[in-house]
Amino acid sequence: MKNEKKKSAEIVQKILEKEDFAVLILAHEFDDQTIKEIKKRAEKILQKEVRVEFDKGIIGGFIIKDKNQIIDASIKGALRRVRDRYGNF
Amino acid sequence: MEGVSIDWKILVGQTVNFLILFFLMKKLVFPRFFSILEERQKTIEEEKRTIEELEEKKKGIEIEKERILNQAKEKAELILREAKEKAKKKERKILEMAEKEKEKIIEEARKTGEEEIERIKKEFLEKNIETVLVIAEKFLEKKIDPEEDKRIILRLLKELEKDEE
Repeated sequence: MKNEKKKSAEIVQKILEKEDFAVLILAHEFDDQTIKEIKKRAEKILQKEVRVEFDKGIIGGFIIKDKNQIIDASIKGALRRVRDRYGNF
Repeated sequence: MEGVSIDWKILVGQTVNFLILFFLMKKLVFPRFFSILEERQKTIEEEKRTIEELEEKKKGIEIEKERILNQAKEKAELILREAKEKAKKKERKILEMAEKEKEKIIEEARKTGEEEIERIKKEFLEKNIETVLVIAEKFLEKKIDPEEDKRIILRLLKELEKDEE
């Protein structure tokens, strides 16, 4: 399972390196209007095309990936950061 | 006048005796007598002068005594004032030292307390972080529905927009 996720992440990264767009990962499949609004605002921030994907595993919030950066504003990411901070004394 | 008669021989004899006596007195007794009187007078005057001098001296001594007493009193007051001032300074210093010591003890206690709390927190998190995070994850999975998630996403995007500005 972990290997599969790693592989798909690598594929996404390769695609992103070739194409100039960003991927916006959301936890919930919202209605079209909401997705449109989120996508529009993300594109305005990034100044490039944004493609939306879904991953329930992130619990909430979003992750933005493009070839230069990853913005992890997900709940899962926040929990991971807590683990990183307090789990390694 | 027959009963009263003058014996000229006796009168002359007595006068001669008187003159001899007077002469002898004048030559021998009076000078001595007057000399004694004069000496006595001088002694009295000297004694009077001595008494006056002694009175003067006494007055001088009284004044000196008064001056010395006043000086001693002033000195004693000065010593007392200085001693009081020193005692006050010492008291202040002791109080300051006590205050500093108190603050130091409180600060150390606070620091120790904070360190202890931090240590307990760290220890708790170290031992329970996985459990806490699994519980948090499960709780958040249930808690965050699409509506809540939408609010979170829009708020995060707003913050990103602010950062971009």
